[in-house]
Amino acid sequence: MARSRKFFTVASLGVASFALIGAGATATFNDAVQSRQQITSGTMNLTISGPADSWTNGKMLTLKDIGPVGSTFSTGPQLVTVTNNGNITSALVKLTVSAPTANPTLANGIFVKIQMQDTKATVYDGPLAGLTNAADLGINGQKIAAGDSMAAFVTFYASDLPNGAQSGVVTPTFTVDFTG
Amino acid sequence: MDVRPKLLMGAGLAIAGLGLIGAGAGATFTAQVSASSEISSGGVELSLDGKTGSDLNLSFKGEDLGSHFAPISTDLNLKNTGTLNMPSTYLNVTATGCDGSNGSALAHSLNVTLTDVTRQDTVIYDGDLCSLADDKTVTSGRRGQGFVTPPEHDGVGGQLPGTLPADTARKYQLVIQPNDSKDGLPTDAQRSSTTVNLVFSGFDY
Repeated sequence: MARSRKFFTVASLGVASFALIGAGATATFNDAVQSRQQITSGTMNLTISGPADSWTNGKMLTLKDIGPVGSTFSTGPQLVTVTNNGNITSALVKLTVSAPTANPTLANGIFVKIQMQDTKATVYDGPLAGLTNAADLGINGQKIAAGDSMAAFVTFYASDLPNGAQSGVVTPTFTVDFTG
Repeated sequence: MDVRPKLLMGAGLAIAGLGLIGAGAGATFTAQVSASSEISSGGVELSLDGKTGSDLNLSFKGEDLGSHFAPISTDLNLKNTGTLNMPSTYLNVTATGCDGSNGSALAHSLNVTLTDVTRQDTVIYDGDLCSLADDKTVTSGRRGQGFVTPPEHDGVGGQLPGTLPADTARKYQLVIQPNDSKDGLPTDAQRSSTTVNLVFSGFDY
């Protein structure tokens, strides 16, 4: 009986030792890394302004009324400026022009000249009616960096308007679309 | 049975994800500004003795004239009824017979005096009717200041002195009498007639 008790004691110790070795083998070294980036969207804010005698709410500029004009007239160059007050670069997508009138003879007799202020390049000098149909004046894609501006001189003029152009009203409207 | 629901759920999330990617790619930031200007044209209009149109009968009293008829005089009130000033006005005179047709003897024996009453009775033209009618660029009559016709207004007669601002009038006096006040009209001018037409034109330049 006594021999038998020793054997069990040894046997139980042996089992206990194995158990300890097993428990130690399940532990591991741990570590972690993390990457983080914040993306903030910018804001587009383009405003338009003109000469001192014009009116603007920032988005729409109304130049001084011209007239009643005679058969030959010129408004002279009127400086129109588009400023990028946002914090992202904006690109000019398109310039569209409309000229609503009840007197097409007048509208067809009016010419318009657009000259960039910085480069002095004339991007258009022709009939107003031709400008309303122009898809691209070569300025599409032109970019305005945040804080910068783009300015052009706009002149409306006519020479020898026909009699049918008398007592008419035309309102040329330029709309400039940007993307950013 | 446990696998299929999980598989279907995973596919649904993938499709939803593709949908979000598509929506983001189609949108852009845009902004728009616009500028406008109103241009209105004025008008030029003339009235003669309060009448407008291109065929006015001024009722010249010149019928059954004798060889020594008294000068026929009429006042012409030319008014700018438009909204634009007229820096230049023109008068074109024509008379039948001046070209040698019927009434030639009568037309060639008449004298015309045109006076600007508004400008201190300034004589604009004083000379032969046919000289005024035939020559559209008459530079002077016998005593008048004469007309000058700039090339850009060719065909409208001679330029009248002075300007005609909007809503103002100018009074002219036209006098027709025999060229030869002593001998009067020639014999071959009997039983004939001539029609004198006056056409006033105004320009805004």
